[in-house]
Amino acid sequence: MALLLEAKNLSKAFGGLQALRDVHLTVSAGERVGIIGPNGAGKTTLFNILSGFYPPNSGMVLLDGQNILGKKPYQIVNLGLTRTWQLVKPFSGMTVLEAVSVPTFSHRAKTRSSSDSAPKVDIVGILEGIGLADKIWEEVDNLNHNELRLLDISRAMATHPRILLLDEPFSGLSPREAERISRMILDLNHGGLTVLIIEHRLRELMKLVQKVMVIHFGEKIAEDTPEAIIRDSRVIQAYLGKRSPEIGLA
Amino acid sequence: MSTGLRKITSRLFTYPPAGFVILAALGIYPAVSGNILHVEILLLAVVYAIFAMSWDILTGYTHEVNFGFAFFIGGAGYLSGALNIFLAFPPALSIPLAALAAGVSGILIGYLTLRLKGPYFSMATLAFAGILYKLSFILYKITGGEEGISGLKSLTSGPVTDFYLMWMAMVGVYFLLLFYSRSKHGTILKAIRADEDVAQSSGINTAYYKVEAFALSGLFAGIGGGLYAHAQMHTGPVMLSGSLSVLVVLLAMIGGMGTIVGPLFGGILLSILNEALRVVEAYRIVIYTGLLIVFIYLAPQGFVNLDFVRQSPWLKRFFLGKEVSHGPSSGG
Repeated sequence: MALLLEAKNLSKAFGGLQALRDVHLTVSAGERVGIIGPNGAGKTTLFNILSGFYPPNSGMVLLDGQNILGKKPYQIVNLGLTRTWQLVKPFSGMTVLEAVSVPTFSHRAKTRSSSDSAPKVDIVGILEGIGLADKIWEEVDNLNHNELRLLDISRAMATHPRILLLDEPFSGLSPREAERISRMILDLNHGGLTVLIIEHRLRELMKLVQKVMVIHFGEKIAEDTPEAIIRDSRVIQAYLGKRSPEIGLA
Repeated sequence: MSTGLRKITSRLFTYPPAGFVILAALGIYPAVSGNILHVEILLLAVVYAIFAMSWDILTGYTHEVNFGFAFFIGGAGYLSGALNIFLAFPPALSIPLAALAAGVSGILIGYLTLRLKGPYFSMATLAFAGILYKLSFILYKITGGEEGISGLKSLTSGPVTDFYLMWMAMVGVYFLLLFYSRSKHGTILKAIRADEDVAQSSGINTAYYKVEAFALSGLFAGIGGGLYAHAQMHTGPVMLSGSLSVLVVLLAMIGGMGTIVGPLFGGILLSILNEALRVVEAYRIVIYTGLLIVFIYLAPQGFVNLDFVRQSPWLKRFFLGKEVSHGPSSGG
């Protein structure tokens, strides 16, 4: 599989706090990769660097072989890398349809809809696929947390990304709702979307991803398949505590 | 009917009927009444409505409060006046040039204040207007200092025709701003208002749209300022003063920010109220400002944004118009 996203030697310090130290990351096209780590490990900082919101102190980020460091967040989105946020960030004061139409004004979506070979970004289709079709005319401010989470993902999908960075997509959701989002992510992935997920809910995450990367105090301490990660002693000590964990892959 | 015309009429149908009512009322009254004093008062109301609406396109939609709006109004007023007096440009040329200059300075200020948010943004805009205000005294050889520039060529031959010219400008500004705010540009500005980071991660170059709104805001304020200077045949430091900036903020806020039609109402009705209170001249300012405080207390979001307006389908349709969507799926 071809490499889609590659980060090399990423380091980032906030004053005296070393948030990331020499982190490497590779994501192949079509892959589902998870990032785990204790609170404050640097996961979201990594996302902020990849999506162009923070400049790293050193290192390099390649999207499909092209260096995207120094590009502005909207330019990176237009190259095909889109993120969601740990806390839901709705466009309050809009209807659902209007909120999801915002990304269709991006350069990426516009050039898509003007070329005949690629299909238009179909926001109604996205909302139907995600289960928000009956809320199209609803005010964003009237949605519940679960629906806002879905709205955030719909909005990200409307930029027509090649790789989607999801920052804790399951947080605040019931297991059933998380299960629904999991299934939806799998569907998108089968449609060709590459996904990179930060998540604390390991039971759901481990079932979803093919590869897991563990960050601890800003450093990558392990990267392997979910089966291997949950047996990795460094990971268990750093992240899950010393006792043998009860999580399984059932 | 051609498709273009049909598109325009179907679009007009989605606009708030309240806007048409007030525009029509203003258009009819001077022709019927012929009371010159009333016409002069309405002319002033129309000028303030232009200012409030142009202010709204930036601040109402991005919530970055521009506290230095007199920069554009007075700047264009002075420029238009100076072009007229010193270079003998006719108003038909000096006003558009001055408005254009105001638009360009909108781009510059917009660019310089891009990274500023909240009170820092407001203070920067305040400072720009303050600089121009001081300059109007320092450069007294050109600006006439405290007395300003007098003897500008009048717009037309009489107050009624002056009024109708101003009225047409207001109608134009109203529909252009409504059209703009209901296009993708308005949606993007609202997205920036909600969360600029998220707008960026939707692939939107937010800086561009903010500067664009700033330029538009300056351009229309410049048209209003230039027309006002020539209608009065005078331009003075009051047009650059902080009190004018604050007045514009109040008119738009009380009318209802982020709606265009709200500032139209605020500008017209509050200006008329201010003049109506002249029957109790001694207490006018006290009563007027007192009422403004009451209005802000009763409707902090502005009258057209009141909950009972937004929640009643009929009132909402009347004051705010019909919802429009312009996603690619519905736009065709």
